Amino acid sequence: MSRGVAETMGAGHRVEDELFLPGHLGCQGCGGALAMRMVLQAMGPKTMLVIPACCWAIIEGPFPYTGLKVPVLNVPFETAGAAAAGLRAALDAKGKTDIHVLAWAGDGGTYDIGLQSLSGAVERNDNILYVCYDNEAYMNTGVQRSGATPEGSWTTTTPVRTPKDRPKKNMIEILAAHRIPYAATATIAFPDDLAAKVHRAKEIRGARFLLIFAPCPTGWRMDSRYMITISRMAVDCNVFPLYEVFDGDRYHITVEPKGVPVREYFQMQGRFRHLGDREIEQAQKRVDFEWRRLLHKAMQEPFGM
Amino acid sequence: MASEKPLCLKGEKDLPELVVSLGSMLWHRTGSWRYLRPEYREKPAPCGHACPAGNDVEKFLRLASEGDFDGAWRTILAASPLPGVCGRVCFHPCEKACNRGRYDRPMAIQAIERFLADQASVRGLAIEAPPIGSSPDRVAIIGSGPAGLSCAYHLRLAGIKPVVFEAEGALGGVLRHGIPAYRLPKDVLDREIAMLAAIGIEFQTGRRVGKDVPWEAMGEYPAVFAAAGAHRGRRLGIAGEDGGGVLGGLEFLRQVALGLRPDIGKRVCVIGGGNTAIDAARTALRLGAQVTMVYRRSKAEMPAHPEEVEEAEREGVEIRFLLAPAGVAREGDGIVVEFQRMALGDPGADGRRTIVPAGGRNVFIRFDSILVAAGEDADFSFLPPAVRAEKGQVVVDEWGRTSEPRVFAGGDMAMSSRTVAHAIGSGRRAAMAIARALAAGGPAEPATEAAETAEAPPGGVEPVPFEAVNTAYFEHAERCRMPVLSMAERLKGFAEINLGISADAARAELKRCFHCGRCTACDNCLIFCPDMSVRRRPDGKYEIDYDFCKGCGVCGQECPRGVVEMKLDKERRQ
Repeated sequence: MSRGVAETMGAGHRVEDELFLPGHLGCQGCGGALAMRMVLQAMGPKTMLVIPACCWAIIEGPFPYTGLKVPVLNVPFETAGAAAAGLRAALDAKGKTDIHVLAWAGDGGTYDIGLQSLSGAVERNDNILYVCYDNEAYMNTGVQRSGATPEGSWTTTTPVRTPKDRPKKNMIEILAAHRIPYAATATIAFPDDLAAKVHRAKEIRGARFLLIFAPCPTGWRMDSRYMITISRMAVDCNVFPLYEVFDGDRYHITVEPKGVPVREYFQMQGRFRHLGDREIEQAQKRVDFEWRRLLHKAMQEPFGM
Repeated sequence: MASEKPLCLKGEKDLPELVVSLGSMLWHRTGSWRYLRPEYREKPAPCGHACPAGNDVEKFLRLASEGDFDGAWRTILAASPLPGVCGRVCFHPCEKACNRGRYDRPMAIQAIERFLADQASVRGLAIEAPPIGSSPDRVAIIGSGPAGLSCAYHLRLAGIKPVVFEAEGALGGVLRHGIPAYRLPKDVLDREIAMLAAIGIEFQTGRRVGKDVPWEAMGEYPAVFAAAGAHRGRRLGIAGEDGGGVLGGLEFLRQVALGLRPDIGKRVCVIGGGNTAIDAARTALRLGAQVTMVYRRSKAEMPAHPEEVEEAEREGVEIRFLLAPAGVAREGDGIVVEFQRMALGDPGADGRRTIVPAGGRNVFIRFDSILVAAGEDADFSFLPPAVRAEKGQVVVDEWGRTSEPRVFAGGDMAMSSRTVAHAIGSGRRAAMAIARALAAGGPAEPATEAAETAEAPPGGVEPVPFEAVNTAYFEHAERCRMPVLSMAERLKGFAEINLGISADAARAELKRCFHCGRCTACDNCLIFCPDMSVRRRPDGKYEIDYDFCKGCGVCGQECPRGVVEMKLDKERRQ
């Protein structure tokens, strides 16, 4: 199992081929912006984007400008799934079956507000690729808690005296429960792994879901330079394992984690700074438990850790 | 669509019927957000920085890892004409400095240097030197050890004709007469000296300056480089030292190297704790003796290289510590040495702990012969008195210039660090200074910093610290192992112990190198830029588009080898 670190992504790269142009409004070190860049490189120009309210509705630029070289349909917060399904139907009706429909929503628009329309679209197995770039809170509106915010994390609506007391929702399990052909996690720290998953999703017909871990230095209260480092660490400490689920059933872990303690991951981020030893120990236990469950589902022995 | 100017919409009539985009965001120069500025700056790697001979280690490892073994060999030749020698006998300070040593084990640089030299020999490669003019400058070099050979070689590369005077009958100095063949086989030395003879370096053997050739004869040369080494063994200064059965360690090694078999008997005592002592002990072992090394201080204070000490012990040399020789007496056909018991005292000026008498009764041990290796002194009686010497060394500056304008010196007779690599470096620097002096046509003018920076690896600044290496991009990997001769085979004679690594092992080892401070075009900065602001240059490396770079610092953090630096952006702060 290759760690898939940036060995093939840059080959033959030319800036003219980028489908996402500089000048965009993402913050310094924006993980969401980089996620779009990597996904579009793998998707190619025959792609139509559906973007609900989220950071990306800002990043792409204000009317009448766009930072992208592919068409974008901006839609209301809760409608990414439905709008993408509609766009797919319209394209199919016009015979443009070779164009990919890519719904692109944040964790708020996926885990919480858009869950109903996403569930509807994937239950119908509409032929779309839905990407959630997960920065674990409503970052665009000023760091409010979402269903993706991890337990113990600070946000403006879960201040340090009462940090979030519920675990992060397991979105992949929700999608897997719909028995869709493909659901996977990815992160920008492993670009080869991410690109491979996008390519795999492209080749499958039906509803496909990709959850991309995309750090937000602004909302996570950390130095933007560690954006990739923290993404890599999330994988290596099993907070965000990289795996894929075929037909809601077959689990496949794609990157072998190094087994870094969760404490090291927490220490790099201001949003976890208030956590004491007991809370960190609890978090470690939860992470270990979830990891063992995942290994069980993937029917794998624990890696040599 | 890719207009770089904002749109100019003057009224309702300019607006589209639907809310659609009319232009790109390229007019929006996000570089104005930046307060930290990424810059590509290649820096020296610690390996090359630590090399006393001035090898660009990272470069030859890089070329070799690309499969260009010949280019890698020629990179070594740019600094040292003796890679086959150094690849065997150098104490590799490069490996001590190697950043990989703080991750798992350092790169096996010496093994690779040796591999490159040996494969060049197998492939019959030759040194390329520029043609020599019809009436070139001639420079006299006294001594054909590593310093003399290095100086001659670099002078020859500069188009100057060197003439090397060697007192012994064969070339190589300490490499031939001091270092035993089990560490440096003579054919390896012969092979590298033959390469030097092939490019037109004149060698005169059996010509000791001051005896066979008067110093005055040096007057015909515009410059002289003296590197006669340090051969005079120090005396112990104890009673009975001058009788039979007592031999200097270096003299013993010389006799063995010349093919003589000095009669040392069965029980041999080696006095001293330096590299000569170890070499003498291991050589005596190979002549069938039972060897006891006796050192005044403890193991930690031994000046010998720890690896050598360990090998000597494995081969069966007994080492006794904290015993200082106090007298030698003859008894029958043997020798009885009296030792005083010592204890460790306070640290001395050199940081090593001093010794004080421990009291108690002296120890008497019976031997057949004694090899004294208590250090060596240089003999510079052949030099005119005007050449200043202090503390047993010719006084030189960093360019090897002595107090006499035409006279340069290097190697063991002018340096406190007496290693082959230091000698090679001193010969090279002196050659640069001599070439510069001759080109100027006058007395040797200091070769200035400009000359040094021109020669130094790119950057010329502090080497990359381990902390600047992003180890997330390097998997742990085992260091290659040097195949060695079995213990039983070793003691049968003087066959080389280290057998050299295979090409496959070298290739695997080369994959471990971090290439500290050198852009290897790995694409990390390009791939991880969230602002599409890293561009590939035609030469395969990168540049930053400062119009758009927001200064997030991801490229600096994710550069595996410390090339991308983040600096306060002064331009933007004003």
